[in-house]
Amino acid sequence: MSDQATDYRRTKRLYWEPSYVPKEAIYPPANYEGIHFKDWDRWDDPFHMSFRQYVEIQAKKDNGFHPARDAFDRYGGTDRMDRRWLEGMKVVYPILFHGEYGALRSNARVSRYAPAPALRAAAFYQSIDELRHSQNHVYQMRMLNKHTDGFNNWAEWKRHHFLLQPAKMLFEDIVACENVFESVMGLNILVEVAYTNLVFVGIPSVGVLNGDLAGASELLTTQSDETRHMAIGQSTLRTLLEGDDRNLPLIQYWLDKWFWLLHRIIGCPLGVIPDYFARRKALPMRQMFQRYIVDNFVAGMVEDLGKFGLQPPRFLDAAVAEMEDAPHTLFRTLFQYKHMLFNKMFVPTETDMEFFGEHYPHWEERHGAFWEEVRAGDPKDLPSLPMLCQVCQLPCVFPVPEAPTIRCSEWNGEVRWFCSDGCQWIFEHEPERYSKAVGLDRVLTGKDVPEIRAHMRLSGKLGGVLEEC
Amino acid sequence: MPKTFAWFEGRKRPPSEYEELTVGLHFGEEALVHTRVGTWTLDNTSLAGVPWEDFRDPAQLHYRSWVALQDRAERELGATLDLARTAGFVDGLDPAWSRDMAVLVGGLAFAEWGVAMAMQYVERFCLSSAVGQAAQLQVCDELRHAQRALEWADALLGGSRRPCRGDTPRPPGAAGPTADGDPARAAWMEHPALQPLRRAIEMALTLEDWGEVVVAVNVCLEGLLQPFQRELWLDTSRKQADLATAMLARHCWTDEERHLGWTEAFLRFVIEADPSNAAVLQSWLDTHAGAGFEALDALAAGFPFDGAAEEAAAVARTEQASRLKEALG
Repeated sequence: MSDQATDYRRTKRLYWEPSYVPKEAIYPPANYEGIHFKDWDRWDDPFHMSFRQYVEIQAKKDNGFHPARDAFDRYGGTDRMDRRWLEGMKVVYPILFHGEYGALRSNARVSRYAPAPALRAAAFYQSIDELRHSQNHVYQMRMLNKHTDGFNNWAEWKRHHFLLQPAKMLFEDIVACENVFESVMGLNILVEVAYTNLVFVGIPSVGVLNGDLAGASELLTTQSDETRHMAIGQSTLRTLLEGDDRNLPLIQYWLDKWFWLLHRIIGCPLGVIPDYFARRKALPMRQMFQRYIVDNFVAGMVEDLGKFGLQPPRFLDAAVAEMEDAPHTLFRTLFQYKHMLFNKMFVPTETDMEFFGEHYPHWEERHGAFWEEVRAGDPKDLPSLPMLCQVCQLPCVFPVPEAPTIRCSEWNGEVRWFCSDGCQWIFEHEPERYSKAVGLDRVLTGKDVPEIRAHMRLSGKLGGVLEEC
Repeated sequence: MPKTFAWFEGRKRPPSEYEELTVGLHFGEEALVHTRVGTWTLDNTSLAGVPWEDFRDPAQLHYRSWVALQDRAERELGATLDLARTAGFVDGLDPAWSRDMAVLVGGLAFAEWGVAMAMQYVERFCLSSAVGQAAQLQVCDELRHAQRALEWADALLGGSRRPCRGDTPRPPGAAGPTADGDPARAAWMEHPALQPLRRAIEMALTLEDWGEVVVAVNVCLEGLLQPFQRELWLDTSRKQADLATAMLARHCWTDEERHLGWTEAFLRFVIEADPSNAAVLQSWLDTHAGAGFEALDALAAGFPFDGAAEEAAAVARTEQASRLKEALG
């Protein structure tokens, strides 16, 4: 019987130094520009995976997950899901798909161009994992689409709807990284290590409370692969920091930048799921953020890698402070655009507001009046899109719409607007990268609601208010 | 028709599971982020006027069906190779034949991995979720072949060096099959019969147009060399009563036939979309076909196996011509 170590050595043997073309033509140094390491061949992949092991493990996982989802569907599981939760999943799955598909394509490039053979091998398996995840999300949407509106045109919405533009921006950004190590930093460290526990463990735990057993099962089987991806990121980060202290400034920049992007584009919007779309709640988002991101990710990383000079993310304090309001600000904003959404919104109940008052000390003061006015009959609908941040593509409404921290910079004679210091800081470091995006707010300036809906591929009665809340 | 996604509505037949999971999912070309690498632009390839999301892989595999398929295949192939190695079947083979076959199989493992790397580029830059997936599954299959080929080359080489029969462990410190270097790598880097192939693959790894990579690798190399490998390995292993090499050949071909199938569909698809693409494809064929023939001729000359290689090469030329005629008209 061939053992794991032997199989892995065989994979490592497959790399060769080209001689008919310059090595630089096959592995252009621009792909790892600014990163220093003496001997890429000594780099080790923490998992030592072989093909036969991979398909054996993954087939077992699939044999467990897919029948569970099929049974859930066959025996009316979707009909027993909480309606509010279902509306939230209409937003969650297209965003997750964005992430997985972007990760798939990004890892195809890392596995082709990374200078370390072991990293190329690890990225290879990650790329095919991401195909699994993206298709599992589609399986979920395919199942839910049979029972409700709001899933049937998700691929078009992810290209054209303002609600999904931030995720499009984030994962395009990872795909487009010039340096493969920036891809690893953005994806494997910030997406996978920092956020997947929150998304694929924290959210399913709330989903189960709201009757979504298939969704919970799907996210948990996804997370079983993510642990491998996290190890790749952690091993890469440590190796680069240990290998050469000249790598520190670039890595610190990537940590600062991607931490903020992930906080803004995943952390803030995700809060509306456990805090609002979950009728039956567990932990408030603020506490989940503290547990998964601050205590586990940041503290763990600083403890582990602080000795190499790595500092906590530059905008950590700002992110923590924002979580006091971010879920509430975004839910309010979505409510104001309920006539332009593919999911339905609702007015928080008394029970919801008790929960907010208990877990968010400033909720009543900062957000309570808005809902009082809604209850008094003000629909709060807005006729045109809000101003969107040049970098993250989210509305410039943070921390609260009444007092947003809007920033601006001039670039090539034009003013660019940002939602935060973090996004402005990123833009000013890489203006070429982020200056060409034309946000949907500008594309749709002067259009009326039917025109905006048509542009965003919204048909029929999509959006609006959930009647049975 | 059962409720499906909007992009399939209005069709006469319902979409297959493959289509619902694979088609229409690409991000599109209107990027929000701009770098030198970029995301996807239409000029990533010279093939023009193609509705990329309309492409379908004839095999209709997606992750779930692919992983189940390859898990079964690996169990079958693994059981055969394990038995052949551990129960002394390798030791019963003609040592000279085993040595030659080990060099050929081991050297070609590197070619498989080179093809995988080339298709990683297609997977990353192509403008279609369905093409990307076909390329991605091919990448994985090629890694499978490369690992199994190296495993079997090691086993054959061990058998060819046998001083005694059986699976007796070597004494501590004794040289294993590859301890004195790596014969498979040495063959790939230096054996004259493998150099034209290595040159062709290294050249393909420098191409920038992902459509050209498909033609250079899957049409000009794989379309010629995979039928050659199938014929040669099956024919010579039959004469040696070597079921394990035959099983490896059969398993590789099963996957490769699928790769050639999507490639053929791809060629037909781009020409049907815009007939002017035929000229683009032809120019790529003119550029890269010679490298494929040179690689084939060198392999056939370097590993003649009593004339079997020449016969296999003739079959491969005929098959490739037939496939091209079918695809290009």
